[in-house]
Amino acid sequence: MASRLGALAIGMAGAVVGVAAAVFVLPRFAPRDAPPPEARVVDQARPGPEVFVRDLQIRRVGELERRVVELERRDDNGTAPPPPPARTERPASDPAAERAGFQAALAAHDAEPAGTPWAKAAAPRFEADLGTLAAQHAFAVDRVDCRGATCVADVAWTSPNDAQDAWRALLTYDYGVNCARNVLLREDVDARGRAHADLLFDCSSPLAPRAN
Amino acid sequence: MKRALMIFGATAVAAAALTYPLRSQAYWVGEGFAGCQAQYDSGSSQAGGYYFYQGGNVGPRELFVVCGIPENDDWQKTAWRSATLKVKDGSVSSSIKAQACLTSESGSGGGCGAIFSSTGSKAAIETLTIPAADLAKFWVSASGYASLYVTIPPTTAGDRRSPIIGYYVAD
Repeated sequence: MASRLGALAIGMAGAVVGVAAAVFVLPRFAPRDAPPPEARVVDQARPGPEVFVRDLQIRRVGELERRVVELERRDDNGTAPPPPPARTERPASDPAAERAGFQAALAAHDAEPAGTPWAKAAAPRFEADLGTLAAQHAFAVDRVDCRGATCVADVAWTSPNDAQDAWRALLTYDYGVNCARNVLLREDVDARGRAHADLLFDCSSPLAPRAN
Repeated sequence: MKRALMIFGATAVAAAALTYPLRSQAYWVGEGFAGCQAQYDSGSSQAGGYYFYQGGNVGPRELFVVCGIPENDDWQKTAWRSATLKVKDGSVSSSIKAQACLTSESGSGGGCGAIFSSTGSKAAIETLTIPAADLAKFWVSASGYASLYVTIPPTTAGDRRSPIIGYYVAD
């Protein structure tokens, strides 16, 4: 009887190790070149049976993971500990880090060489586009500065509420120089009570068309 | 001891073999248009009960559509490699344009990648694939909420619609 219980315990331990390996270790060695998903997206409006099978499998794996964690947490008497506290925050939820990262990107722009041929070509095109956009969304363009592969514009609205309503328009405009664009409102208003935003165009990606 | 090792090894291999195929399935997440909202440049919204489109008797106005991209513990944007949009250019006056965007965690900023445009194939369904390099990488490395922005220009033939078919993100 004791040997059977021992074998059962060893078997359960092996199962836990196997599941853990499949969940946490094997995916790290999986090939990244998965087949193109087009072959599986047959009809977005009417999911086929493969979608339901996939959902079922995901639910099964979730339940299996929950049971493995529960088994690992049991003490020697086999009693389960109280459930962990409910999560209330997403991972990587850190607005301060976001702002610091944006400031680092602006500093990297300042460190780029000024007066490059690309910068000379791009700056007037951004100025013209921002002038058009400013007329539509009632903001002022205080400065446009282009350097190696990035441009930064300082734009200002008459009030923080106007800025909050309109900053998204800076991101979706079809600029003549088609690059990734980022914006962040400054926390303080200037002496005239205007709310500023820094608009950063990142044209360093080889996939984004350049201005010349 | 030998028998114990055999039992341990056999159950570990069996458990891994049974679990790994299930775990490795989810390499893309697709959405219909249910996670989208649409608005014309005039400011009025389009009811999205069935699908979003430009054309028909809707009128010659530019249509903006924004679609949320789902994210969870097992599917985080730091691992995404591309966002793909399926659209049909029925008869619009210029290209259909798409961008992948992120709103910052604080809500006071964000970023978008470069704009990708359709080729104007008219009747065919077009695929716009936005590589991860053109997602706003600065925000991806931090946090924020992801979405897809689509602009469908005014139509040139009222009876030929230009709908959004759906979109997905792959890692």
